[in-house]
Amino acid sequence: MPDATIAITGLKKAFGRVQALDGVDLTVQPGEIYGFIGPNGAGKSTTIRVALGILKADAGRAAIFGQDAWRDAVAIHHRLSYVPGDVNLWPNLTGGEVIDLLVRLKKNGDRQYRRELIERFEFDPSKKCDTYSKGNRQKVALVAAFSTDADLYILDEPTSGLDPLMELVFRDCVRKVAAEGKTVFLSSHILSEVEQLCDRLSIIRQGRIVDTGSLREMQHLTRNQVHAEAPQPLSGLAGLPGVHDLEVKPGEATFRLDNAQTATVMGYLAAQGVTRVVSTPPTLEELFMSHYGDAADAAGSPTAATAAVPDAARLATQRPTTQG
Amino acid sequence: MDTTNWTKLLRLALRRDRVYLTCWIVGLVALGTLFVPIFPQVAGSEAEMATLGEMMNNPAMVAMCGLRYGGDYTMAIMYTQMMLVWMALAFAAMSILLVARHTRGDEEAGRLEVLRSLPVGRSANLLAVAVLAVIANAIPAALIGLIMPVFQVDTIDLPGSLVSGAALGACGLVFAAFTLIVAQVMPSSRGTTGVAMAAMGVAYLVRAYGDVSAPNVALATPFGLIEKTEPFYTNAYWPVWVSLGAAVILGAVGLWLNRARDLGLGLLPQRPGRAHAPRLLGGELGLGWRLIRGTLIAWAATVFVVAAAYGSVMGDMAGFIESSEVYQQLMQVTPGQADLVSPIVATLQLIMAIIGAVPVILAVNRLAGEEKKGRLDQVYGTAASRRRLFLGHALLAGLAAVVMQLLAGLGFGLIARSAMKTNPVDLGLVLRVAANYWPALLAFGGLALCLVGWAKRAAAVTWAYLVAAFLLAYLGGMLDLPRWAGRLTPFGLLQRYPVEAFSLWPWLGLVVAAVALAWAGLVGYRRRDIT
Repeated sequence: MPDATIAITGLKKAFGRVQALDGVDLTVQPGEIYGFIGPNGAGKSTTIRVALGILKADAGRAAIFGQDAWRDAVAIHHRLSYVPGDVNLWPNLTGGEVIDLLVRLKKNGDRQYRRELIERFEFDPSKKCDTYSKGNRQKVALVAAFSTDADLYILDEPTSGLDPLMELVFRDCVRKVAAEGKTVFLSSHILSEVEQLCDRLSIIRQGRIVDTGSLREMQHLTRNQVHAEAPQPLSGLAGLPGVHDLEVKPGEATFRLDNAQTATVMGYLAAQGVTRVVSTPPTLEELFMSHYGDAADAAGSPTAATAAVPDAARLATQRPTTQG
Repeated sequence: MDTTNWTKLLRLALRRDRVYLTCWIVGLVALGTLFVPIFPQVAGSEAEMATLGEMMNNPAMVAMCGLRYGGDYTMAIMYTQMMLVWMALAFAAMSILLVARHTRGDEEAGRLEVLRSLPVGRSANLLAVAVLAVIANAIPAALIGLIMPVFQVDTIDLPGSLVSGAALGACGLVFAAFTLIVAQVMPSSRGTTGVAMAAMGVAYLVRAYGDVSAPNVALATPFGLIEKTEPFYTNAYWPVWVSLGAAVILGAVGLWLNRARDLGLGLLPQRPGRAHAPRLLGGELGLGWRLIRGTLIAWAATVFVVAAAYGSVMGDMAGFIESSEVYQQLMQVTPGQADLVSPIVATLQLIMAIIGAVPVILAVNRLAGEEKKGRLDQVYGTAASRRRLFLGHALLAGLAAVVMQLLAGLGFGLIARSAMKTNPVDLGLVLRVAANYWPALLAFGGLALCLVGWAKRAAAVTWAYLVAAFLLAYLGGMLDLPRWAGRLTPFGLLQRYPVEAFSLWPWLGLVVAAVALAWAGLVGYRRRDIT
């Protein structure tokens, strides 16, 4: 079996008294587009910077391409492209100069593709970097990263500051390298981006990975929101296992359902002459919130927390629904 | 002119700079007063003072320090001659950095934009900065004036001290007001600081030339002007009033230019740059060179011009020595002997070497500066190696040391030779003197490299050490300091060639120490986090 592209185990890193990483485990297989989500300060960038050998881990192991992230940093970086979350550029260099510099430090850039990327990102490379906006600085890093040939692309919130059109260009770039079989590690705040692009993902919270898997796997572990309509009263639902947060109104009921109890509940609903059932899996945003909602701290378990997602958040993110 | 809410901006500036300004003020006051109690060690009898006065009236000393004025050479006048112009340089530098920081610096950081979106007048910030500059100059000026007489040193009285302080504050304000104008014109924050600092350097050099051979020319510079206060002699206040008047006019022009200027842009346009990097910009060394290129070129020019200015007074120097019996006695040599100039060459080259150490340290500290500004993440995200980037900066610093010393020797030697009609100084000798000091520059670079590797926040230590080295070199000759005190800096460890014979061991020892410090820095740099 080939080495995992990124293999991080038990990674710990403290800054003074702040424990930024508290045992991070993460495995990214070759060819995956891997999402990495978590709020500010959860340890996303710190994890990435340790993986790049910019920070030294206190404990644990970080390997990329099977090589040690700290010791073999330079060798690894020949095969990797990185877009930092905070792109700080040299005020007295032009954007074009910075792109060339970053590409030359890797020595395998594609000039033709660089030109194409600059055109597609509608970027003016002849201006001094101190005149660029946040989005334009981001473009410098993106063009530099994608115009070099790499086996792994590590992107730390790469689209912050980009307009929606440029975000589409970015997604095309990611899909292009993914089609070539390259691995992409995408840290992001923009959950729709992760949902659309990523095969698998990890959620990090306070320096620990709290959830890992494909979106579907994660959804399986949590309750669907169910809305049912029937001519006969549905108050009997209250006595069934796996039904939570039940709200019964004349002719309809809304509740959260444990996946394991689906058959039982559906049997009951059928018996009541159900006319319509809408079952909605949790969105990534809901999953995310379930790990971060204030109630999560109080309840302590992710399952219980799912039920405590504020209604406003749930309603704001209604997804395409499945009818049954 | 709308200055709505400028007092609030002033309070904000004072709050933000409470540490920064306190450091500057404490530093300036310490520099301006702490040597007062040490000076009496120098003087002895009246005859000795007269001798000293004669010695200090030589063109090289006048060019470097300032005018020797007044009748009898008293302790107070000697102190003023040694300190006034250099203190004024420090006040000017403080003013320039302060104004640049609060005008274009804040604009580039985007802070002023936030403020301008609030009900704040278009000219409010500039007015607040101007008043801030007045405060920053007035406090140390007053403190120096009041503290100097406290030490009860003979002839250093209150009226003279007060006029000294007033002169320094007024001079600082002239440069603050000048920087207000530069900040309107230049396209960037770095450009603002650079041009204002260059103007300060030119003013010092013109003053040096003028004091030696054209008094009216010197008077046209802020430094030459405040020398005319003649503290402890005439105690004249008119140069202070003229300086303050000039500052008010310059400041008004700055405010006027600011009215119609776009935020973040200078009146001079930013030129478009290259779309592609030149061949040289690639790899760790290429990046390092590009980062410090401008700094090194500016300092190389500075070193050459200052060296040439010092060299130019050597012509007057020869004539002075031939006519001054006292000086000949002091040097215990016979007239016409070239060796008369040896101590002068040694002293001036030492000052040049200390100036030359500045770009060496800057070249190294740039590496830590880049890290602090978060620009190394993307560099180390590529295949760039820490070892190569670190060694690249080390190499550039070492080369800078060579270039600075070469320019110091050439600038001084060539101009001195053309200025000295009889017994011109030997160019080879001057270059050997410069080469003698080269390892001291390396040692400062090595120290800076070591700190970058192990304690990047302690970069100020290197600067403090260099200032100490300057003070020891500048004043140490006059003050009867114990031998070991002089040996506390790399410059003091070297022989005072050509006055003393060249000795290879301390020279080699410093080179080895510099390399060892650099190596230690590399070890630390490869082990630590880049944050």
